[in-house]
Amino acid sequence: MLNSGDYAIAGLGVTDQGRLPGRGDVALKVESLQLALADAGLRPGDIDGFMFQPGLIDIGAYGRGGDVVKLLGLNPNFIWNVQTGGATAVTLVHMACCAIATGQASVVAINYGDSSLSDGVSMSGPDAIGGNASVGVYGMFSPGADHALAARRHMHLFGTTREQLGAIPVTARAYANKRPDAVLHSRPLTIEDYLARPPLTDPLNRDDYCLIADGGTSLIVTTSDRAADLRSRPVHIAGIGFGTAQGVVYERTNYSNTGVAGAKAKAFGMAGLTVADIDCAQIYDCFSIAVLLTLEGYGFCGQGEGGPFVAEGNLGPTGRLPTNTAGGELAWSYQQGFTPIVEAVRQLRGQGGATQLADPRTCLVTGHGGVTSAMGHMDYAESAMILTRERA
Amino acid sequence: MTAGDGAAAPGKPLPRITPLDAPHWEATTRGVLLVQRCADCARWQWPAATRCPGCGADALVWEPASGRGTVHTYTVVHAAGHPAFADEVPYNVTVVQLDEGPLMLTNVVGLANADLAVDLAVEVTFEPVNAEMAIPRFTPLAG
Repeated sequence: MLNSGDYAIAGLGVTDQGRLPGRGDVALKVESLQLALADAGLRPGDIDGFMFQPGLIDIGAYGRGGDVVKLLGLNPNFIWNVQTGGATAVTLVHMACCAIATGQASVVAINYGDSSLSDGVSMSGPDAIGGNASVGVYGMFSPGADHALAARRHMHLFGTTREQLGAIPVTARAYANKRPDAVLHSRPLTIEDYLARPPLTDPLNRDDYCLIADGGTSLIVTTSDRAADLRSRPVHIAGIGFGTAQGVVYERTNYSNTGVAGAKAKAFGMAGLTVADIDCAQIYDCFSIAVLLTLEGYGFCGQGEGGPFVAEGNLGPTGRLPTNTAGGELAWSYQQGFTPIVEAVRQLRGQGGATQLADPRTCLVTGHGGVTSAMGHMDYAESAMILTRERA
Repeated sequence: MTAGDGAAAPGKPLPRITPLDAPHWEATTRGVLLVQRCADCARWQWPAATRCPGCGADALVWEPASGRGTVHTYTVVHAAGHPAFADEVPYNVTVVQLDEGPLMLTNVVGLANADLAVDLAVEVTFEPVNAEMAIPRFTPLAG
């Protein structure tokens, strides 16, 4: 059993994000870890555990995390390659805490980096979700089409409108427009712009889709005791939980089991908190509809009430739940499940720049991902993490 | 135009038949929609599973479904994710809920995409592809 508050994110390293031709994923992975080490005031020799999620560019049996270990001269007790889609980043934080709790390591580096935008790797197409013949036969070739099915069903069941759904990308863009570090910083988006966009996978359009980006992100996890002596303000891990919804890519449109319930129960149980205690959220926003379903799943609003909830401005800086305060994956950058963690750490440290919230003490971080199989099944993985400014 | 018009063009993915779902595909060549049903709890199951996801019994058997159902949800795809579908956009990808309960990914054919609607009553039609399989798609229920 992990005790709430005993572990902390002690270092954060984030490279440039966006289109970075010629940089290459390995260099971005390395640079982000160098930045995280500097942020924590640690040296490579202090790292005794190393884990990574491969980028889209190097997903496979081995990934390229081992290159980072060699290039920085690390000598960790383990090098773990973990992949559970958008839920991976929180999973890695949990594994780091467990490795420390069981004496396998004391300071763990978590590493991610990708060059998929410049190097032409996509989440859709013959080799992506629809390369899986059992759904590709019907012309389904992307996670976007899957989420479009969920959006259509939600609209039918609850009367959710495109105007309401559009509040999610429009709010995200408004945050990003204030953040020079956001990929879409200089690209405003109004609800009129959104509604005028042609559909990609109707009822979704390009603005409902997250970015694909080059960039690197690294975290350093250690005990809160150790973190207190390091250079940067630690952000404490109050609760972590996981859930799954096993089925076929489209089965989740039933809403019978999205996997959030289990993740929520474990994370909030460990933290001893309720959703009413959450000051802000960083929600995994691969697609706009995912944000809406996640808000409902956690009970920030009732099931079916997500449309009005977001349209009323509740995700904005003065709303009930300021969410994705740098623009999220829709507008800041796509670093898989690291995107929400980056902004949560920054908000709780007071490093949110022009979108810094007044006094955030708690932040919910969510992850949403999965792994397809040859049978067309997808096990959806949901992850929840509650980060706090003060130690529990 | 929909993905179901005409025979599958070269390069389109075809279902990968496994020992688990081979009875389903063999039946499609005879115009029968075979899905699994639990002999213990009577729950219908698609796609093929090894044990009943409803009650856990190791008692799944193949039974013909009625072939009728309703549109559960759908998307109209405007950007083909595969070169073999490039000439077919916009086309629909639809989830039909069979009258027996299971959801089935498919396409609705014989209907303009603009006329698609959730809850539309549909019935199965089989598109012959080769000697081993026909692809189950759905058309609006006559009458």
